[in-house]
Amino acid sequence: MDLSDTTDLDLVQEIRDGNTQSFQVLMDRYKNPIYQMAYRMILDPFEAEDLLQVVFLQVYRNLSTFKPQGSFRAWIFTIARNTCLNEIRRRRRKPVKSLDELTSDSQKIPFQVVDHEQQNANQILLQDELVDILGRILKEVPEKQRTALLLYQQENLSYDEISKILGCSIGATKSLIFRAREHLKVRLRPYLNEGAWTPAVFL
Amino acid sequence: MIPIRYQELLEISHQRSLKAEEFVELEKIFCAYPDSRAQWQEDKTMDSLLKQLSVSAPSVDICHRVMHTIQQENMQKCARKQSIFRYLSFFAKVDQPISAIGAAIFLFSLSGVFLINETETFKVDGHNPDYELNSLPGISNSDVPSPDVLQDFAAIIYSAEVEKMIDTDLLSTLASTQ
Repeated sequence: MDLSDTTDLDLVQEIRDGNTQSFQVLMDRYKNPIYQMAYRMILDPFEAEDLLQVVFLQVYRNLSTFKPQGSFRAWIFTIARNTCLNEIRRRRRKPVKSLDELTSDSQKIPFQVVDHEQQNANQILLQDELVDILGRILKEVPEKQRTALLLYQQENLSYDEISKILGCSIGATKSLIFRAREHLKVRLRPYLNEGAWTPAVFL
Repeated sequence: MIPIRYQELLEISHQRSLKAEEFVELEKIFCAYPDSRAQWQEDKTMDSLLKQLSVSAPSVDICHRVMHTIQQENMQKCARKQSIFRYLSFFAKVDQPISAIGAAIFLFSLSGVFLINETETFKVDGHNPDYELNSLPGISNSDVPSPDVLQDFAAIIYSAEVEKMIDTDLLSTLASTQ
């Protein structure tokens, strides 16, 4: 049976009825966005993968507490964010030095650039570099602002959904996104004004 | 100061492509606020870069690992349930509802507690006449006179009192004088 077109709520109902195959579909649907979110918060690809596993297990165990009138997407991202925050707090209490920290920064960042087909090689190189810079600048942005921005820009979540995940008002969510964007723009401006990376390249 | 409409159009452009009339509106803003055109370009560059920002995907077997853990947990749960049922089957059949068995055990223990309590109260208060009679020291059924004998008890007492009141000296003096 093809479950790829089934809505999240229908899948949740099927899992509650004992169909574990539906949970597999839900995981396929959310593994990449949640992994990305975990990576952005933890900044460690291996830890992010472990956290992804923990998030899915928590979702499965607590599925009975999910209320169908709410957004499943917001619910699962809330669990993911809380799990990551717990991990960050745990790390602050017991700091662990990762072996990855011995490698250089550029080697460590697993950023990838997608959709290059219609661009020439030079533009691709420039864009790769700028995306790489953006990824590094993004780490400077406070966690809440960064999460809000990426949920909005990359996952296309609504302000309402993001406000529920972050536990703040819609106004505060808009402000977080705006401030994150402003920070990135200010830090990227010197690169954009150099001439090589003209804004037109990206339009 | 760039108008609020600029921000609204920017937000719309994050969700979908702008319509023709929205582009016209945007052009009007560009004409009215010359700096806004550069800002728009900057914002769109930012959007484009953020869309391209992507981290490598998680391992392909991540879902398999999660499913394996879930299956193990389910098996453990089943094993735990079975052991409870095995224990309960000592008292009743496995297919009977647990609540009924629980209720029966509860009622049984409640009635037991009630009976023990009643017996203890009974012993302390001693309301039973047989118990009370037998518990008195030195008295047996044979020592107690019958009710018929005691019927004239008051008259006998009175006559005994009367006997004490008679002045025997006076009577003897009167008898000697005669």
